[in-house]
Amino acid sequence: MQNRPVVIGVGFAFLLLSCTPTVRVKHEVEPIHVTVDVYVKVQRELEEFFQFEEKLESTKDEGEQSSTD
Amino acid sequence: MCGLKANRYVLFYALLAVLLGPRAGATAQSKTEIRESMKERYAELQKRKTRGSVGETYRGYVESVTAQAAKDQEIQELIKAENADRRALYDIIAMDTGTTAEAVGRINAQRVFDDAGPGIYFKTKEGTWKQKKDISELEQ
Repeated sequence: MQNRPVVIGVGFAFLLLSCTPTVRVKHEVEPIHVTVDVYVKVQRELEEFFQFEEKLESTKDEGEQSSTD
Repeated sequence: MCGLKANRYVLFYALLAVLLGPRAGATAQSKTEIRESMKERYAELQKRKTRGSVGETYRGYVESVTAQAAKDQEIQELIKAENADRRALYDIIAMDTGTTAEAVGRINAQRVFDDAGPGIYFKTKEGTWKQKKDISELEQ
């Protein structure tokens, strides 16, 4: 009789726990291609920016060739 | 009531445009300005690099190789201007691609190394200068 409130309390606690919504967190490991993507993006931007170097070099080569001719 | 809400949204987007608009335009203009500045300096820089007075570092910047070059005012100004432009460029690309200027600098250092002639000097991580022909790969 004395244990009845305890039993009811514990039972109620179990009931609450079982009804508590659980949140499942999906653990995702970031794939390595994210870093590679950034590397590729940076490379592309640099190559695009420095295209003028190739043009200047080819202009210089043409100038040297015409002077030797 | 609806008018007040709509006005608030209009104000918000207008403020956003004011804050972001000039920055976007400024970025595109800045890259062009940097490119023009580097184009003007390119021939002189290549000459100094071919002579061995200026070299490239693994961080993507230029430095004087010889003690004589370190004392030469003209070379120091060339190096300072080139590095300032490179830093500005790295900042812009870093923002565009979601990385750091340091990372962009190192990637550019690799690009420069790949395209460089065999006689161009590169500074190793230990701080010693070596010509490309004496380096198997750029340490980063």
